[in-house]
Amino acid sequence: MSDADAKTTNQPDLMEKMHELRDAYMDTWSKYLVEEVKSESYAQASGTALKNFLNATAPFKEPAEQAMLRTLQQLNIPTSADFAGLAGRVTNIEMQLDNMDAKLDRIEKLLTAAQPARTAEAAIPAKSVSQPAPVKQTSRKPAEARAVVQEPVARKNRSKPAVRGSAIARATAVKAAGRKSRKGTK
Amino acid sequence: MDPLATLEEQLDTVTRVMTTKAPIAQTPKELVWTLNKAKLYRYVPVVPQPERHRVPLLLVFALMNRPYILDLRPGHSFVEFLVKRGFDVYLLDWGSPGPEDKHLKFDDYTLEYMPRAIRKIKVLSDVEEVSVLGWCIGAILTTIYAALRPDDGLRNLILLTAPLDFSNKEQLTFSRWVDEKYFDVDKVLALFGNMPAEMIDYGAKALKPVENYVGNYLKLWDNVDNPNVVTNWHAMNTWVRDNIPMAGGAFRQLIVDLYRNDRLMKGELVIRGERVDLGRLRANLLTVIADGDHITPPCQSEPVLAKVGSRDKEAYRVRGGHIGIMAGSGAEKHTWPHIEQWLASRSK
Repeated sequence: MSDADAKTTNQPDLMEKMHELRDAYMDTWSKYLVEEVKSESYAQASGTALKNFLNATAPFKEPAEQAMLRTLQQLNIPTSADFAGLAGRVTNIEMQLDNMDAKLDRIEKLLTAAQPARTAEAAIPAKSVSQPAPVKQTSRKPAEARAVVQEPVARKNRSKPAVRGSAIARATAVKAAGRKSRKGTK
Repeated sequence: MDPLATLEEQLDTVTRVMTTKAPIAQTPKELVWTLNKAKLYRYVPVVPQPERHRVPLLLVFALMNRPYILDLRPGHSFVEFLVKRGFDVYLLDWGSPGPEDKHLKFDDYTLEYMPRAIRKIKVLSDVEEVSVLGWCIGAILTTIYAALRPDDGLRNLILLTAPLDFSNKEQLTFSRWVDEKYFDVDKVLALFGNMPAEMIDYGAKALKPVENYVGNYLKLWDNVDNPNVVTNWHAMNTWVRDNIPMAGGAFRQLIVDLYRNDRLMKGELVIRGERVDLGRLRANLLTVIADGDHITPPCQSEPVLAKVGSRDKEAYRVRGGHIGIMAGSGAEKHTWPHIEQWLASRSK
């Protein structure tokens, strides 16, 4: 075997050995650090670091926000609070539209279901028209019943500004719970 | 080839994949519903209607990452895999919460967004029943929804790496970190409003620091001449770097109600005045558990089977990590086919 051949065959081996060594080293470090981050002392250290950061940053937040608010108001520019309020109102409108969409879907479904019955009615000879063809409401009942069951939920949602109004939702829930308990005591 | 030229080419590849975004989420879809930042997409079917499964599937991902991990890249996409097998697939993208959304809670996601999105799916697909797949925090949301609204037409529920049981504090590193002795959640949220994406990302990566901060890049360097590995790495890196904040209200519930007090499994979690009783969850249930999951260890996902009221329930254990079981190279051979088979037989 020539020197050149020996070099080319030895080189990958050397690289492979280096890779193996590196991987073994990484593996050791990995295991050590995984155990380390699991420890109580790490949790404590990271908690202290976060606490220090919060203590250093929080005091500046309020004055900075107030100063910004005053500046924006003087310049007659909407503040982030204005935008947040606007976003909440847009979301409420979206929910109202979604409720309307749900109602329209239900109406469309009812009309589609009623269509074949009407067609059948029109096809019956004049003599028997006086006896109205039974519109097969029973066949639609499961879906309809479910839609009716869902409606109060949707109606309730309509009055709830769900996104910005979690507090209202909570209040409603508390009220409902109160009503329930009152009923229970009666 | 000149070794210097090779090295230059390799460095170019590394720079490119670390500084650019890969073309991801390529499966054709249409936007069918929106509410606030949430968007519901329907994937364009490729199988003729008569051959499709009757029950549509809704995919719900976590709140703090982008959901396109489910549709990573053409040829390696769970969505594409399902669509090709005749499923009517929908994806609920929660979007990125802004400062105005800091009050959003699990209550809003489970009782406002999800029921509305599911209603829309029923109308669009003209069905009365749906299947839902929830992954990570998405699995928490879908479980809560399934328990609170058992009569809403949820037929099949698939949970992927679902963090539901928080009782085993020894196994949960996050539990230790967010203990009230060390982590003042109210102070953090008072300062930031929402939980910043960077802090969540740090938390997830710090669980395995060597792998995430060093090993990942060494893997790229070692395989820089393999275009397949580079393409996949590029797509994954695009997803990993694209983090979003978590709404303050929901984050507080995650820490206080779940990590600290384990209220869901104890049956003490209250959502808009309704107690979440897992016994009311009756949908067919498949929970997929990753054996090597360091974010959601198996002890968090398994106990739910004993609590739910479902008659048809199964736990499927796969080798892999939290994301690897669905986006890794083994996903196409193990996890996806199992989910597809389980779902197909229950979607007629």
